[in-house]
Amino acid sequence: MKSDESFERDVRASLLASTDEHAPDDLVARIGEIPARQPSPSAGRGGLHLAARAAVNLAAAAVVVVAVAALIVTRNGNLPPGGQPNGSGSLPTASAQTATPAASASPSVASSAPSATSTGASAAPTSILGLSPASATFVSATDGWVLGKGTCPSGSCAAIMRTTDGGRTWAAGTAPDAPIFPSPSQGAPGISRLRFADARNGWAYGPDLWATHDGGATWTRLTISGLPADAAVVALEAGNGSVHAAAFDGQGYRIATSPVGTDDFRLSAVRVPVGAGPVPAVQLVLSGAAGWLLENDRTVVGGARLVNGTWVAWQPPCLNVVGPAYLAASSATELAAACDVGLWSSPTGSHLFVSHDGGATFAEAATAVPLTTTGQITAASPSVIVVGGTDATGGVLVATFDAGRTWSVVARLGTADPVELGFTTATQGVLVAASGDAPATFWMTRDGGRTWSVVGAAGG
Amino acid sequence: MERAAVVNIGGPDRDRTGGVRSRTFAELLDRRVIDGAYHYATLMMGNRADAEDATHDAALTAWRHLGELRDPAKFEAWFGRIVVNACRDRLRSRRRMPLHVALDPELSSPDPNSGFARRDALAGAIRSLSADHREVVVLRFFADLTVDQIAARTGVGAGTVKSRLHYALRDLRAAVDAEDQGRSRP
Repeated sequence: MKSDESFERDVRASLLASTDEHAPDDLVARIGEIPARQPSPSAGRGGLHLAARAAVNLAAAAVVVVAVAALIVTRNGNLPPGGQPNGSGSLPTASAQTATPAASASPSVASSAPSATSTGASAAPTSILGLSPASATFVSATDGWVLGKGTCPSGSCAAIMRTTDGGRTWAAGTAPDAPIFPSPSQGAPGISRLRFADARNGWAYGPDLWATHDGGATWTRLTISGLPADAAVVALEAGNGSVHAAAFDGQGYRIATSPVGTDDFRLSAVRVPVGAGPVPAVQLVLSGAAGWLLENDRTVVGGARLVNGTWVAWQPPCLNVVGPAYLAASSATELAAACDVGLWSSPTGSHLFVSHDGGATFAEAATAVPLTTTGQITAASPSVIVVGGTDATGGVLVATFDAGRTWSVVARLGTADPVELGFTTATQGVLVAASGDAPATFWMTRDGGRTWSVVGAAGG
Repeated sequence: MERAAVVNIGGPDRDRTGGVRSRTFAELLDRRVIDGAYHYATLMMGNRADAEDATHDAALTAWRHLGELRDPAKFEAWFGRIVVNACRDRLRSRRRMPLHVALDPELSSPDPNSGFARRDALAGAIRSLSADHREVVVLRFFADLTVDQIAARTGVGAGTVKSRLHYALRDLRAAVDAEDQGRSRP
């Protein structure tokens, strides 16, 4: 047997012999082009970042709470533009029983006009949630949950906080016994996102799938019949009494649907193929009985649509814009898509496309979205649309209150990305913003998207 | 702003022109650093295509977060951590969504007729290591990092690094010994 030193020399020699002398010239050239093709680092986020990472991180998130809103719409009828909230007669404050939030975290009373200065930038708030948020879900103006990374020896324990008073106070809930990751695309077993359909039925997913039917007291890990045991669930939304999960089956994305109260997932026949890009990302959007799946893989790849209870192939918007699209729905017929036009060819920024026929056709809005790159979109109504992304200053939320004719900055996120964004009611919405390894922040609006304030976040 | 520390080292008008920032980025991420990242990625990913993608991913991430680097002198170590994470991310994605599974023949096929069959066997054994073990082997014996430097780069404790190195080398020895015994048979 060789000596340790001799053997280690062999290891070195073997490694040296296993690599090329230099990186390929075309790779060096591509890297050299990055500064010219990506937004400047002072913007906090690059084009790929929001185009790919937000897609990756979020898979389903673009419309997360839109789906929740859909639940409410289903129960209460379609919300009129600018309609009244469901059960949120007064604006809550951010005072918490367990801790006091930073002053900048106090939600503002609705202002008469959007204000870029009404919310703090990326100021680190004190912890009122006791976790670093990864995902938020509300089933009403009062009942919500936040999934995040809690403190544990491994540093990646899932933790859940629950509110029953619209975010005023939070109490620890029971989380699945699983690692937590920032993105559903992680290969390792674990979870990254949380959705509830009502007070009892919820799911934690991405890539694994867990379910609770007792309000989060107990969780059970599920597999979906017909899919590989380790199939990654990359998007999930619940609405209209059903839960829909998108999962990769080795060839493409399949959609499985179950009644919310059981774990009886049935696969639909439709399969959306994987694109040619490196990181496919799937969004699920529900509104009442209607639903849409959109897949980006650098550019828009394909989609599916829920029609009369059946998922069928669907041609999503922005298939030919050489960039990704982000979809939201404010009703079964009213859709909005923010598309990064030319992101992978000649970038021209974010553009809004709207549909009034359930996604059969889309038309571009008159005014471009004032963003360099897009990451999230949500719509409280056809007129009120909030888009998250980046501009020259970094992460930002912009909103239109006149169906895309004019836009205003409503929150600045500093170096953070919007990773989940959605309206729970016509006036109440949530945002999770994250920046690399830094603690994530959880924001809420209670005035229809005009002002956003940090509710809580914690330290990593 | 802290992020201006790096961006601003390029010149007085760096805040207004991408050119300055581009030059600064290019100065930091020069050919030598790219080569090092690509070498590491090749050894971790096992094929050139994925290595190129991981290296490019890392460069994009570095560009995006350049403003978070407080000390430009530490760029290489900082970028090294990004490269490690980029490879981890791609390996995880590949495990769940195996878009690229084939190893490059030129990087993976032992040549039994060459005088380096043992080295090739060792190379095969290195590729067969778990990603965690391969990571520390590559960083220790290719990048020549110390245990503490590996710990800092990979985000695990020094004890874990030592343990992984121990078991990785044990497995490599076993694989090579088995190869030697196989060759010595009539």
